[in-house]
Amino acid sequence: MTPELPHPDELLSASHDGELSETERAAVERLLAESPAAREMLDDFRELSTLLQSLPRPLAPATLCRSILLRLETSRSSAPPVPLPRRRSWLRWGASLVAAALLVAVGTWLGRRGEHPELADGRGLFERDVVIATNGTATAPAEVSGSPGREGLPVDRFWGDSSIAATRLRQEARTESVPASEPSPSSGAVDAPAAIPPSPPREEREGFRGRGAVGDARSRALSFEERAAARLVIDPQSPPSVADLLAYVDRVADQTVIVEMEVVDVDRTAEDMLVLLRRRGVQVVGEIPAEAIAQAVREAAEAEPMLVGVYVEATDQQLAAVVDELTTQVAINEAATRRAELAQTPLDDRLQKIERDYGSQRQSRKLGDGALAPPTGDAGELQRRRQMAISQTPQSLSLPPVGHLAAGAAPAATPAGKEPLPAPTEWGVKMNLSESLYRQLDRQAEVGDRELPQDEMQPLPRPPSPVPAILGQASLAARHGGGAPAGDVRRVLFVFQRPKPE
Amino acid sequence: MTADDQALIDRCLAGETDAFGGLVVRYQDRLYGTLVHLLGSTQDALDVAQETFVLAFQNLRSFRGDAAFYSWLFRIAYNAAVSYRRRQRFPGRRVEHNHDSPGPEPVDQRPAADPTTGLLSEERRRLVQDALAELSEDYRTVLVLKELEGLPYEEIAAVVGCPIGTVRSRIHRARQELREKLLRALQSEA
Repeated sequence: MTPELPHPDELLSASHDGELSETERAAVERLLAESPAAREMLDDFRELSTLLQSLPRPLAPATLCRSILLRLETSRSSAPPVPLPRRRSWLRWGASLVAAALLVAVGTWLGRRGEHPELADGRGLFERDVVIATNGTATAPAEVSGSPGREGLPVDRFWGDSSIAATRLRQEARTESVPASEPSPSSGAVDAPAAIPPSPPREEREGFRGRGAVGDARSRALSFEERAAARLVIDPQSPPSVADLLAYVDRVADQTVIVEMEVVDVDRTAEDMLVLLRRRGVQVVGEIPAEAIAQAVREAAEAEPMLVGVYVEATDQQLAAVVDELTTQVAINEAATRRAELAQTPLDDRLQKIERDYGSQRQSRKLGDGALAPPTGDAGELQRRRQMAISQTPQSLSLPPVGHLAAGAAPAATPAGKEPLPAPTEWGVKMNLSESLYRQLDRQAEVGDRELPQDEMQPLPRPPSPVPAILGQASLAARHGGGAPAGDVRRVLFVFQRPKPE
Repeated sequence: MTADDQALIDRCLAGETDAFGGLVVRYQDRLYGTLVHLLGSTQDALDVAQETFVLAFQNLRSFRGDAAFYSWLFRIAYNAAVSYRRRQRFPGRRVEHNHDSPGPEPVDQRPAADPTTGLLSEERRRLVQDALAELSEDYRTVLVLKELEGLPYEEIAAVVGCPIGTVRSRIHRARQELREKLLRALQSEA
């Protein structure tokens, strides 16, 4: 019995692909000889193929190969012989990291209440910290901030030093003493070099790490994840505070940028940040998925304020672009969110709400103003190096005019007669979406496209502090009793850690 | 499989992770370019391509070398794409509507199949891409594998995990649907 042939059109399609049996081919030849419609159909199939094969083939992004090798580096211990679903592994790692971070947060809060009276009475700035991801890469910067005698350390030595800092933090927690990385409240200045502890005995370092992490050969043998864990120093028994963490990051890597924001919607801001990072090809080391961040944010939602630290790998150009986008995009989103919320309440309530929200922020800022003295000595050397880094910072880091932020348009030159925007004058960028910015955005929303009267133009965010950014932040964080933004405004501190520029 | 591929694979299996970079560089553009059309999104394609290469590395010992490395790689990519779609739980976006691409602008790497037709006009290219993106996932997948990857039916069947007859039927229906969509679009333009 002859098998039933498929539909003639299907045979034509298969004929075009050269996928016919002998019987089918004979049938198609008969069909083409008899039917002009069949011939037309076959011609159409050929033309379709031409069209499809002429479609553009996008090239893979230049970052793809590097990001793949980076991921492989993290799983070197589970290389070819062991089939291991990579994503699941990261999820596990990320989940445990977030869990550990929450433990850190709780532990920090409980522990700090005893260490610092200003925290015990509820004036602590960071009541709960959420560390989202850690960074750890073989391309870590070799230059160690605040350690003049250790410039140019190779990566392996660098990791050895990280264990020193880790041990130091742990020792401090054990003795319940104020960490050396925290500045004296009276001086206000941060003496970064003094924060580098002396090298502890080798045995102590090994004991703390629980594995051989000292010496070039041993450090080289460390896996990517081990390095990352070592750098973050998550130890639930003796967790570092935010100030410790920031100071630690500063000590072990001189390539960190901080973006500080006060936002209404932390969750959305974190998502925006991830999107912007991905758009720019910036790797969030650890690849913690957005859901984990959202969950961490939700977990921490009861405590005000909070800190979100995200550690990434990026070149100067990538990071500059992300920071630029982050500040503008989030500003736009925040303005929209805030306007939408405020639009639902009567005008008087709105004004009162703005006053209430911003009043406490103004108070908190005053505590920080002028509290930090110019660095001297070794700190001056540290600043000099940072100034060198500034010169490599693209100009795109400067903030766009507020009016353009509100309109969502591209930044333009500052109009004549108005106060020029503060340019980034230090290594790193610290940006606050301050009360003045919000006021202007709200006011701009009210007046629409008309230009705001000069007397309503609020001062723009003040320029960044001229002192070392991270240690300055740590200092302020430690001493800002009651410095948390009030109401639904929350402070978010993104910590971007970069590799040393080539 | 080329001798170069085999040499790189051997080095990977000997513990040289960096050798895998050679395989990535060799196939990343081809794989990514196909995934973009398969998934309809450059960002999704990037995620899946990365996942694919990592999985390939981790399962390199299971590659027996009796088929082309790229065919084996693409099977992993297809499975990764299916898993990715499940995770995403939303339909693929059109390429030209996706503005969050971190990669460069699309570049036609292939010469036109028929030199007499010349280069496609931008408008026609857009029409074809739109129509392709509107196809159902099953149809789009087999058509992309056939037309862009040039795989034979047997290999397509192995990739998508269905009988050859189903592949043939799907390709035919995909062509019919695509043809009708393009005819409608051209008529409405006229």
